[in-house]
Amino acid sequence: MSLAVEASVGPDARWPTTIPVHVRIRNDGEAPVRVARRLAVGYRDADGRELFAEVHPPGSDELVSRPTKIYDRDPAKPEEYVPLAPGEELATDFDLIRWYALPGPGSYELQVFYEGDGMLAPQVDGAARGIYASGRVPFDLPEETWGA
Amino acid sequence: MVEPRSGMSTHTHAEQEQVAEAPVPEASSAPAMPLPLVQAHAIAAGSAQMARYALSRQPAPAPAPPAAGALNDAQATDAVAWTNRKYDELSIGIIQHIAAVPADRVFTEATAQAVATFQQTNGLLVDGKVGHQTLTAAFPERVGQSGHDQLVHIVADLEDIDITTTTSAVRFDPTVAVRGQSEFDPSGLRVIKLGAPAFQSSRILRDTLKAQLLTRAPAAAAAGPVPSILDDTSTAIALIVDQVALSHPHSIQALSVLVGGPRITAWNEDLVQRLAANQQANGRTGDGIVDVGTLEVLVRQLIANNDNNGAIRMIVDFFAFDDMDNLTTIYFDPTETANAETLPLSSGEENQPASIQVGPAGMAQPFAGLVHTIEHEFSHVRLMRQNETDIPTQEFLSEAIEMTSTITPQEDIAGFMNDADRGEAQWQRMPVDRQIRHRDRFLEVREEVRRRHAASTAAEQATNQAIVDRWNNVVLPAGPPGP
Repeated sequence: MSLAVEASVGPDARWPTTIPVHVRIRNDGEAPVRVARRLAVGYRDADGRELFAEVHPPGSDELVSRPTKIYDRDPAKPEEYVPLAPGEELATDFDLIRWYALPGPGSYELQVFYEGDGMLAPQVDGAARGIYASGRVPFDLPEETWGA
Repeated sequence: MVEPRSGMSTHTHAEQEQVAEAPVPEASSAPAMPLPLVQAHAIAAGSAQMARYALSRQPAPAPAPPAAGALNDAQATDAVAWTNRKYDELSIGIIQHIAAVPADRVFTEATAQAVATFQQTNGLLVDGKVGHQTLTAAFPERVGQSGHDQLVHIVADLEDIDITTTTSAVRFDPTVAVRGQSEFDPSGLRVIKLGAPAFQSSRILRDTLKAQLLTRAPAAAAAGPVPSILDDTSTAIALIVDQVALSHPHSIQALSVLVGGPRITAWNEDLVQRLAANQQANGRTGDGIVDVGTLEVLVRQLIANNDNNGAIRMIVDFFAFDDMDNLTTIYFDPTETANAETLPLSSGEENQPASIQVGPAGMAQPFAGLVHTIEHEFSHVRLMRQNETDIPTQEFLSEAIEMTSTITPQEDIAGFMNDADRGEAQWQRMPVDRQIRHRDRFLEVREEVRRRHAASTAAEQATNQAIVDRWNNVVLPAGPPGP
């Protein structure tokens, strides 16, 4: 059972307006695995989410991304866990800055995590266990210029 | 009209300051002093207020407070008087967060000095007053922290823009590419959607709000004939009860349109008669009185009619949820992916004005679940006002309110046990000092878990046994309660 998480940041990322993130979850194993289809974004230490993110300065382990809200979302239902065949993938998009505050414009590295069996998540046969992390994705976050 | 003191401005000429500010003082070039030095300085200078301020500072993460002297006494006094004329307590709380001082909602000379430091740092006119230039300098960080609702509140407050009387919601909408758009709830109340470009500056936000308020609501549908269900005495009694049950003008307007009447914002006999007819049409006794059962029917109808803001307002109005004067706004957000959320958070000090957004998933719950979701978010708003910085503690206490509430309808056993599941999980994540502080609350909630479990069917008991076992197995920490 192996999942690959790939993340990318859109070229139109601007501080403080938008940081579009595209995430793909691919079954890299040789057997089907169940994954929560909704791929809801949240925080590492929270329930009701399958994805969370961390942002660091380049080459540093310092965590500079901070949660910006308290959200109340139910855990995914068992029927929302869908089988991914080997080589098959799920994808989603979210705006990082609607969930995390960053210190300001600059250069960063993004890491996205998938965890389908986190706090309060249902126990689903064949579901991926544990946390799967993307590689660190460098991205530049220029300041919004408003067409100037 | 004044210019910034350094090259930090992003304003166009047309955006220049309109709010009169004090003469430009000499800006201090002294670096911020460490906290002990500030305390010593304040005490040595005989400034009790400054000393209290310095002593009340939390050591992290806010920077050290400003050195005394950025403003002279007259300027600081003037800034205090000006701010207290201009701003309400919520806005002052927002200003205090911008200035990185404790958000006690009282704007003092010390707060003015902190604002002056913020102005110095950003190369602005240093006068201790938060006008458009100072607000604009704070915009990027607030926007980056999902603080749009705070910015809307403070700009509307600064400019006395009425965004409540005829408007049910003003909300940031990332899908809106222009500065602003308006749409209207079925009740005729305006919803202003603000795109990212509206948050370029304080003045652009002001102008966008003013422009959107000029849009006119579509004409109301013609009211149908007034039914005659109740006699005069019953109508008079219902009128008295209903004026207490639903008093907010938006609730009454949503109701009046829902029951086929004219758009009105205050109860009258005709509205009572229309409500009675609506009750009868929905299988209820047509007594014209808004009780919980009628509220549920009305909320379901409003949601089905796409008047989600009306439904939320009616629930908040009926149950009179307490926000400890800390709520900037509550509204339906169709882009929300959670049931609901409370925001914004900051780091280390949560005591800042908050807003609540309810999403489609929240509205789709059974009535009791929706009511509890809103009740839960109000708990967060109060806990933020009380500066509870630990999120698991906030979550435990908010789940506990749902599970033991005596004013809202009970959820079914599945909904209750879902709350119990979350509440216990959050308890396990709480720091020991918080567990000690809230031991009695835990015991109270555990009794309710046991009671609801024992009162459920054998099949339900079996389903939820593991949750109850976890509550029973919790070993409470010993020790004296903390402060």
